[in-house]
Amino acid sequence: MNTVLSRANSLFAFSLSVMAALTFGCFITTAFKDRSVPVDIQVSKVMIKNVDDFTGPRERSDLGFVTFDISANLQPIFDWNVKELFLYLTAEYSTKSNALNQVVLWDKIVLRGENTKLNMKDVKSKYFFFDDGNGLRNESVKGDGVCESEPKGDGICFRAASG
Amino acid sequence: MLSAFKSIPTHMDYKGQKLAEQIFQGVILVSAVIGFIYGFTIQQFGWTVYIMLAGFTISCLLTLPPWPMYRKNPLNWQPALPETSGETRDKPQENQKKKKHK
Repeated sequence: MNTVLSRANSLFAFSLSVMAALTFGCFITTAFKDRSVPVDIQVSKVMIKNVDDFTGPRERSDLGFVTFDISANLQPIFDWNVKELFLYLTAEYSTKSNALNQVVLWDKIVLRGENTKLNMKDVKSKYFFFDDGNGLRNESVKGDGVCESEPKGDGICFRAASG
Repeated sequence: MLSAFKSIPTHMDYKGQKLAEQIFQGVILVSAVIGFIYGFTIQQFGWTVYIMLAGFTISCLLTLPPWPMYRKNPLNWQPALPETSGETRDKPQENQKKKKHK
């Protein structure tokens, strides 16, 4: 601590350790919160076609077209450890060949600071709703809205909203 | 340029170094606590970091330059020996050192 450089060294190293402790404190205050929010999803139009499946092996599969409305208020999820939210809508159903199928239909990224009230009408699905096989006819499909939050402090946490 | 920087005296005595260390640790810890509480209240971690950086700058200003308060207990050095006997003792040692390096 005799020279300026050695004083600056110990000061800087101490500040970095304190910053690390603060970040850990930020993580601890928010890691165990329950982050599910009620979501309202309504399907307005469904159409199923049976076409050649161009995403995989060349067989005819069922292709579904879903148009839906989704509304939710995401404000309670944004705390000081959340940088952005990644939302996606999955359709879950079971067929004769597979016990559980999950297909992602639509996703959206919501950054911190943007509008947190989600109110979208007549949204078309972004991704193709292919079934491997012909199992979509006459099947009841459950829509699951999932939101994955990207925090500042640590790894990705995964919380589900039901709808 | 560098020699001008090196000739500025930056030493502190031992009690001054201890005081400087206590000061910067105290300032940074206090600013960390204030920053954490404020950031938690408004739910933005950015403010915590800003307050920490302000505390870091304050403690830099307080402890890096050698203020007079850090020099209040100077060390008592022994008085310097007279120069002539010091030189004659050094010369044979220097010759020996040069031979060893070759």
